[in-house]
Amino acid sequence: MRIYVLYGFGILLCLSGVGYLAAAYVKYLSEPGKLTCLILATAMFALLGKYFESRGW
Amino acid sequence: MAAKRGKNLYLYLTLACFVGIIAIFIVDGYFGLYDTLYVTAQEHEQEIEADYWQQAWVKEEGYGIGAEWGEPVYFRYEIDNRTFSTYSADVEASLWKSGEEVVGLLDESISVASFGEATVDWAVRAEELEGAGFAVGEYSVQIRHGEVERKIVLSYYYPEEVPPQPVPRR
Repeated sequence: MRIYVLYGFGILLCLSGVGYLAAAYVKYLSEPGKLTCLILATAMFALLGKYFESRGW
Repeated sequence: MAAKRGKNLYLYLTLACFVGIIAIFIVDGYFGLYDTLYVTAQEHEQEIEADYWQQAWVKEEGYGIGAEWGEPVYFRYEIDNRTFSTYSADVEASLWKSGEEVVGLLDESISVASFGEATVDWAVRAEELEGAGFAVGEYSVQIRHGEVERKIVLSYYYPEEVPPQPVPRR
């Protein structure tokens, strides 16, 4: 059980780190670049969901 | 085996999207209009790259340069057009003091071809400023073309008077 708490803590740290970097660097992107990134990020999460669904989660 | 590959297809597509996002950051960072300013004062050339102007506080503060009163300060301004269309604009450079324009340094029309570069240069001479009644102090050099605006703070100071060293006796 303790190991899952550590996993969760690690995942949260990773997500916050990626979120901070994305917020810091996304302002330098052009408007079409931001839009394409948004579409790709949405597709990435949707496909990740489908992957976990296919694995029976 | 085929079923496993089908299951992993979503994972591969997810990774492809992630790689796509990274690629956009790289490609988007390359394309655009970039300007680099080279300033030579006191025999030292300083390079101010396009990235420097992206910082929020730079617009108000500008880039500070010190120069001795009496020595010319040379500016070389490079515009790198990394777009698919030709960039045409009037490049203007002027010297300002206390919110008033002292002298126009450059007014030149440029046309930069797609993925091409253009360079303009000018100089600020203290003798001309002295002739117009200006003295040692802080001036700002403003560069404008299209929507781009750059500010350089030029601080003049008197050259240090170093007493001659005594020659050792033999």
